[in-house]
Amino acid sequence: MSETSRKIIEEIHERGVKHRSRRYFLIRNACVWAAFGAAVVLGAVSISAEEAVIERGILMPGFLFRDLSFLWIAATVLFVALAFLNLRLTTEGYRYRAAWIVLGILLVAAMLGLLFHHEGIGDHAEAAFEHSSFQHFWFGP
Amino acid sequence: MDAALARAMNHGEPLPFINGAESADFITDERLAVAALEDDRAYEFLVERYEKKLQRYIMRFIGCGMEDARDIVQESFVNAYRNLAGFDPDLKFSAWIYRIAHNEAVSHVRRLAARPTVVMEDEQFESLASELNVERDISRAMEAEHIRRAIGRLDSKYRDVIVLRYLEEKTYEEISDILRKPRGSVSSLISRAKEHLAELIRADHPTIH
Repeated sequence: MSETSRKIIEEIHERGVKHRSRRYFLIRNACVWAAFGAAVVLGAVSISAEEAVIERGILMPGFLFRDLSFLWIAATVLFVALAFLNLRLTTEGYRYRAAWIVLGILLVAAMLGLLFHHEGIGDHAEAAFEHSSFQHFWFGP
Repeated sequence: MDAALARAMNHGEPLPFINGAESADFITDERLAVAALEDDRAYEFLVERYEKKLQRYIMRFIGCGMEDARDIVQESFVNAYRNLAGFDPDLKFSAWIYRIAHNEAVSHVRRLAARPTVVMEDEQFESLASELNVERDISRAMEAEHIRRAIGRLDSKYRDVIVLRYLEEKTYEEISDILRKPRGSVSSLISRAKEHLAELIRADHPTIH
């Protein structure tokens, strides 16, 4: 064995370096996938809330442009970005072009968002936001 | 893990390839990496296989001296040992260890704000020079020197791919795994890197077309 190789192995033993357990990596990967899933679901909730707002806008002209919640749009962008970053951290996520990943995430979030809107989740989310202290803080009383 | 390896480790027997480095040559890196989780002797063989290659890669990538390269290689192997359970045997071990070494080298450069120079062999210079189409009009010795200096002046993202492709002779797939970028992005980066490199060389020698 070469001098360098010997020094490296000695260094590992002297520093008491241990293998991280397999469980550590399984938990880390699970957290990354869970964060990805949560980001997609929250993105879908944002989209369903936007659909609820748009529906009201169609029914009540003027409402749409006065009260369109840019916050839900910003929330969608944020959650899609988080989902993208988490997917990049997975074992194979780096192999795909960013544009395709974002498109794929948007498609899944949009389809889920439609389902959530059909179930009334978007209306609940928008109602919760309207009554929240954040809404009063951001938009005034 | 194969039966012979498992049996040897379970009974504290010499590993099947322990008699000499030659007999270990037939054992793949990926099998050694899996075996190394349970027996440090397998890791010693991996270190032996890669320490010179990584040293040379780091010296080319960031233009540091032998001592710095050895320190970086040492840190890389310590990190790799710590994270060995996270190695996916479906990936090439070579790409994985190069990735760790690459990240260590980048950290080193950030700490020291080093300006790299590049070491290349003649055959590698020929391969790169012919792709840049700057072979005419200047002597070969001057050409190699200009290419070396020009590579050192490239942005790190372009230098990365030029060093891996032309000096370390990695495939596009391997570069994709090392840098964790899509294969298409690697291809675009290499293309743009060659353009920038050719521009830098021509800027130094306006007579070259």
